[in-house]
Amino acid sequence: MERKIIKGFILMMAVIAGCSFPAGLQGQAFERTVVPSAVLSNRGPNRLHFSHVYLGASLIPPAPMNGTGTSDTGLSSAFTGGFRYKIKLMRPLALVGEVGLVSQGYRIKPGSSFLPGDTVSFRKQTVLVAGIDGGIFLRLRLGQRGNYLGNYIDIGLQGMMPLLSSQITVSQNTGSGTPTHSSEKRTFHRLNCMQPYSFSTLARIGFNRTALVISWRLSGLTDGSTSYDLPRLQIGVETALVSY
Amino acid sequence: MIKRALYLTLFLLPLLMGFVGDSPTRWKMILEKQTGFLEGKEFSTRGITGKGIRIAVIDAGFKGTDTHPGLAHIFANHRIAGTWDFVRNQEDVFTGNQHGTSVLSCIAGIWDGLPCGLAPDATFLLARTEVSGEPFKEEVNWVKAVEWAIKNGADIIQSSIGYTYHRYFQEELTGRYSISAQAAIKAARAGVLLVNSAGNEGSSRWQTVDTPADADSILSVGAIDPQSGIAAGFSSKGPTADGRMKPNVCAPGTVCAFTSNGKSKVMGGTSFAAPLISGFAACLMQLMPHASAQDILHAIEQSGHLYPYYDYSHGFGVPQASHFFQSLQKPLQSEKCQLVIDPQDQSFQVTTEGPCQKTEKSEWSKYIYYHISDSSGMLRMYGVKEFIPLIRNNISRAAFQKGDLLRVYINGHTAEWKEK
Repeated sequence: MERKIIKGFILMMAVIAGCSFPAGLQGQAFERTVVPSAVLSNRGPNRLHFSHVYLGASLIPPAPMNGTGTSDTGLSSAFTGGFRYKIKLMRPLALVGEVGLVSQGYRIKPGSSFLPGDTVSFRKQTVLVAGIDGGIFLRLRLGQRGNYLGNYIDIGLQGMMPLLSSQITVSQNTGSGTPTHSSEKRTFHRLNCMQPYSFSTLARIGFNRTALVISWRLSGLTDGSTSYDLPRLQIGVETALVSY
Repeated sequence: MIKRALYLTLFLLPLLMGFVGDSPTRWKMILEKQTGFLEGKEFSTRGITGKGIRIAVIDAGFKGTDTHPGLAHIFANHRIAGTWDFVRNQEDVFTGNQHGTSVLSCIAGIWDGLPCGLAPDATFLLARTEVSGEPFKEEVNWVKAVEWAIKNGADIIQSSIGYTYHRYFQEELTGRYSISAQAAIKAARAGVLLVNSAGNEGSSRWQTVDTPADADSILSVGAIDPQSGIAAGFSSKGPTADGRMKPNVCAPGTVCAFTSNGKSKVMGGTSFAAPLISGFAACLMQLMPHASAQDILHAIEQSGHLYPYYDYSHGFGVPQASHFFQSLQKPLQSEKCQLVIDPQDQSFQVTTEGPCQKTEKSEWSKYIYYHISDSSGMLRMYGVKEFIPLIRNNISRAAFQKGDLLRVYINGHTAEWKEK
């Protein structure tokens, strides 16, 4: 074992030395081809075309069933990430399209049963929905100066196609009617109650790379066979992975 | 036992390297080089220290300037002629960012008995114009500071501030469009020499010089790495959007500069190259009191170690103080030394013949600088590579077109080739 460590160390030092060896040969310090400004690209954060990757995280506040009464869900969360493309229409308007992946996790409160006929009392239950989402938005950029994202407002529509859905339940084992320390985990995949797609309206306020996002789902996530639909409001933050 | 020793070595190696990296030896080497590259001793040994020259320093704040021991001599000799904070409209500028303290130290600081800049005896006007968050008003503050400096008799305006993508597109930096460039030209017309850092966008998407460094008739200063002697990767490059050469000259961009807590630290950026040139300019103004600001600007360019060679990373190179003292001037290019350019299909082969003069700085003697320019003088391509004497050094001719000129610089010698 010690021999292996010694060999590994010697190999590592040899690699480090080998990487520095070419510095001793006739090296190119740098070479640069000059690009005249007349042929500058039309791609850039405030130019005709721009695209970037984004990441986001949201909170899904609990909402009462049918708008009244106590909620059956706890504070839930969602994560999203994808690719966004913007084309400038005219100052200060642009059209933005995006496509990405979304993952939502809804916490179900103990005592509520989400799936029809599910009467198991549980300690913890989560409904996970993951899929592809995409949207189209109209962007109003505030201020015209500079070649950066700047401050902007996006308003538009978003669609989501669930590809995976699961209900994960952690229930406490009871022996002779009294709770024990052990627990049982049950998972149902490919929930039949999920709609094939859903639509949301979304508004985003951006401050350069960071944006606050609020969305409201217009259609149900489930087909009505469940005890209740899942909350529709999401509030979150996004970050654009852009280097200047 | 061996296993423990190896694990300990692997763990300590990065720490050891970090320690060596900030060792007193390296620190002293950097401090000596920041004035050594400019041959600052040629000025100081002759008593030329910027005395009688008024330098306005425009920056983000001067926190710690009034308490730093390395700048105490400025206050002791009453050489702060005026201060103004354009952000809060008050006199106290010793607040906000410490950037101005670091910049000022590269003009007039003295640390451990060693000079950090070239003009410790100059008189100063200090102006604060910047805040965090890049509001548009900052540039307006900068313009006001320039006007204030002119009104208060500044000979030199030192500014390590630049504006880029938050306000402008690259094609707008023509030296006349931005309000700061317009103010810079106004300062030049008023007979004031404005020295501005080129910017640190060399490694970013922006790449080129910021504004007001794009303005005509001002000195834009790029940065060299004092270890290699060539342009630092972060230093913004030229040309301007209208094709003018920038930066004009360059200076060390890794320096020992002061912090707000009374200490000194190794820092990097064109922010610190520019004040070294401001100090150089102040010494020249003291040496040549009847020269105009534009005369001083051209003299500084002509003293560049690469002059008449130039490129869009180094400009004319690092100004050399010895250029201004006849007894120290290097002998003219030896007639017996020849740079031979031999064009091939894919490359140019460059060799030297005869006793070619070497520069005193070993960092520069090992490089061949080359550029290809079109018929208007605008560069298509330029580069630096290690030069090996007595063998053929190859330069790619992929960018070369009919009517272009290849210029090569090695160790104080320049040669050109043009297709007949």
